Amino acid sequence: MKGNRRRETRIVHGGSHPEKFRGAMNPPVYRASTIVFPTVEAMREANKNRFDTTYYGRHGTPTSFALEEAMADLEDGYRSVAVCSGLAAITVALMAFVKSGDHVLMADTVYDPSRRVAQFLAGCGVETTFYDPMIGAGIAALMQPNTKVVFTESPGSLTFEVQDIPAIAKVAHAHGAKVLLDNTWAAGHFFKPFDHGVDVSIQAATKYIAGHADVMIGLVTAKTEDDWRAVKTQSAIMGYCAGPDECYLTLRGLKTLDMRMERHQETGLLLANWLAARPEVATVLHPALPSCPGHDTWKRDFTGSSGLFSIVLKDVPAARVEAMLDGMSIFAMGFSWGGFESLMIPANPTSIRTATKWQAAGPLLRLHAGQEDPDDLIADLEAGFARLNGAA
Amino acid sequence: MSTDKKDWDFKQDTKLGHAGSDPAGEFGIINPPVYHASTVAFPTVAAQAIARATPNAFTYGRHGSPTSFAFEDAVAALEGGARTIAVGSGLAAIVGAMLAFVGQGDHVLVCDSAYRPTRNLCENFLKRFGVATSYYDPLAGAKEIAALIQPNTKVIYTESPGSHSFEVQDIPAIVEAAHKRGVKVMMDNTWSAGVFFKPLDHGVDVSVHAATKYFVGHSDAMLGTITGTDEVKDALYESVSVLGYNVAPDDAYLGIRGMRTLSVRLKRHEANALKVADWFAGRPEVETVLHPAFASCPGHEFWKRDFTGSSGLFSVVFKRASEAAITALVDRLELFALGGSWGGFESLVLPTHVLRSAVPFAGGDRCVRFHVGLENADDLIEDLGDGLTAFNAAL
Repeated sequence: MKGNRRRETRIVHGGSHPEKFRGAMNPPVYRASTIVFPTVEAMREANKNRFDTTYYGRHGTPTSFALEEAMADLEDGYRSVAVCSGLAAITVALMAFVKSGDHVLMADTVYDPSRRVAQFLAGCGVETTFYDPMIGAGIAALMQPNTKVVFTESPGSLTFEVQDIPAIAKVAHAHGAKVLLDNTWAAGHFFKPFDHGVDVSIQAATKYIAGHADVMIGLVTAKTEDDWRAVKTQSAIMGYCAGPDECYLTLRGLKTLDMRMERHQETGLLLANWLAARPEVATVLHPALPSCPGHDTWKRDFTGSSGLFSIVLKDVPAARVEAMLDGMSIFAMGFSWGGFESLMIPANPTSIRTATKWQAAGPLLRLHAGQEDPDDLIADLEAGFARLNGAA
Repeated sequence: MSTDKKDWDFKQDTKLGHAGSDPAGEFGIINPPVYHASTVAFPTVAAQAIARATPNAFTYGRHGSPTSFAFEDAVAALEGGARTIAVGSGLAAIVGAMLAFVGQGDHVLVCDSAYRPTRNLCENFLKRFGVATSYYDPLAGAKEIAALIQPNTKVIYTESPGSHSFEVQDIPAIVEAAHKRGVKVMMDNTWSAGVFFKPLDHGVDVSVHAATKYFVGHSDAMLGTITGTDEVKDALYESVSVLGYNVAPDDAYLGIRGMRTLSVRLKRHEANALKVADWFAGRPEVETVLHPAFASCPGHEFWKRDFTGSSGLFSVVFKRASEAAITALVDRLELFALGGSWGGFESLVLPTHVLRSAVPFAGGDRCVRFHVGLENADDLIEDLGDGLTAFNAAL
């Protein structure tokens, strides 16, 4: 797709190749392991281009290629690699750029499974230092001669600190380190990673890209061919691959991404502002609100906000919080986010950070604003606060 | 009908028909539903806490769904393991299981006959993270293996038979040497389809399958399984979970769907392959048939002792061959398609370039691998006859 087309057009047509698929707008779902070749010569040729043609099911099919193409187009990257989960995307992107003896810098706000990958890397002789997400250019003090990767997640998906990615990238690149970004919150829609110095953008596409809570999938997009090849090679070594139906459903989800994101944004802001005025709430951690650490950076670098944010309640007994959560009629309680449904989950950031200290006195609740009518959502929250206040 | 799987003492074919099936929990429906899931919603905070603390509870899509659990239960029943973990490819199963046991400074022993992606894992991944690999002669016995074990050896990796050169390994002897030194034994059991060999009964700690092949059996899904003993099952789960491996629901469904016909398919693969291999053995062009059920196959005596049958994959070494002749053979074949992988309903052919570092391969570049599918064996033999005519003409 031509780069000068507008976003909505590019989303609708990304990865579409009616000319390849007998006129069908959507790619068929190819279930494949063995790929057969007409001649030995054809197999030899395919082997030379095993990442660019159908060679073996594990390396991809026209179904996964279509999704990867649409995602690279959305992120304005060179090319994408589809794998079987967001965590797989994080793992494969990290592993592609490190070896034993290397050093990784990781934001202290990364989601817990990324931290577990860092522990795994420690067993492989790769050391990780966690950094304060508000560090900006100050990250220079943490760079070591063997630092190969700076792993960022902006905003942090639990506490929502927005990082100064351009400042971090400038330092990292001066040291020859790659900048990886978990760009899931912005969904490739509200933040352009490669315009801000990122080398590799990671999407837990399980969330907004697929958008229906019915798929596990991850996508890694690189800015350059070399970095893409490094990630694809690592993925091939580790045997990652995305299921064909998952690729299809994700591409299907992508077609409505911009509309869904606008609604998530609108409802998220409405709920966040309503919650900020509630007496029970100490802070709202939403990048578009000035109360959120890094809000100024968000204002400078992002073009909007998604539906995920947190609130910190004033100190309140746990039983009252449980009474609020257990009685919610629309907000469901469960992991992940980015689907059509609203979610609310309690979380405690204290135990999952090491470089910075979580200071809040009250409990944290993370909300995902879904596609429901916002008035119904507010009524549900209002009833929840009544339980919070009443269940003494 | 009792659904308590603990009382299960049925024979293999019965297990293959019923394992993983839970009609009582699924509205009377025999097959598991396909759950497309990421978020799983909990009614209360307490329910969420209980679910998180319960092994194999449905808590989040990446950790598995009732669809993948059903497939895993079926494989665990077939292999006699404490737990099976399904992942998105056979290679993912190998990597996920291997990384459960090794870290920087460790050492692994890998059979010289291991398939190429396993070697690639060792050379282009493990080495980068400070894990050294030594390759060993697949025919090594207890004494030879014991001599190769180093203080930092954590895993002995076996693939029996090797999926290109078909050496059958003396697994009980390797296990004996390994366990004496606290080393875990992993086996790629794909060739036997879990039907003809029971690694865990022979002391193996972890059996992996490229379920893509015989379990799925239709060349339409990428799938892997890791089955471990009670002792190692938690370490395996931890490794797979940290690395973000998981399995797609439709693929897990196709996996369990394939297992329902595993036994009948394997019987046909076995009979057809033996017939085709016999025919090859009688051909003047052929030097050796590398089929574990043939005395000419290295390790045949171990196959005879430990296996209960043979599958559809074997190789043929020609007396004389050239690249042009092998190309002419392959390109002439109508029923044997050219392509990687195997285990589907269709017959396949693949010229084999066996890569070795510990012991040389006697077949050189004169080796071609065949997968014998579910077609009529006489049709296949006629096709191969035409192929050999083209082979001879180009030699």
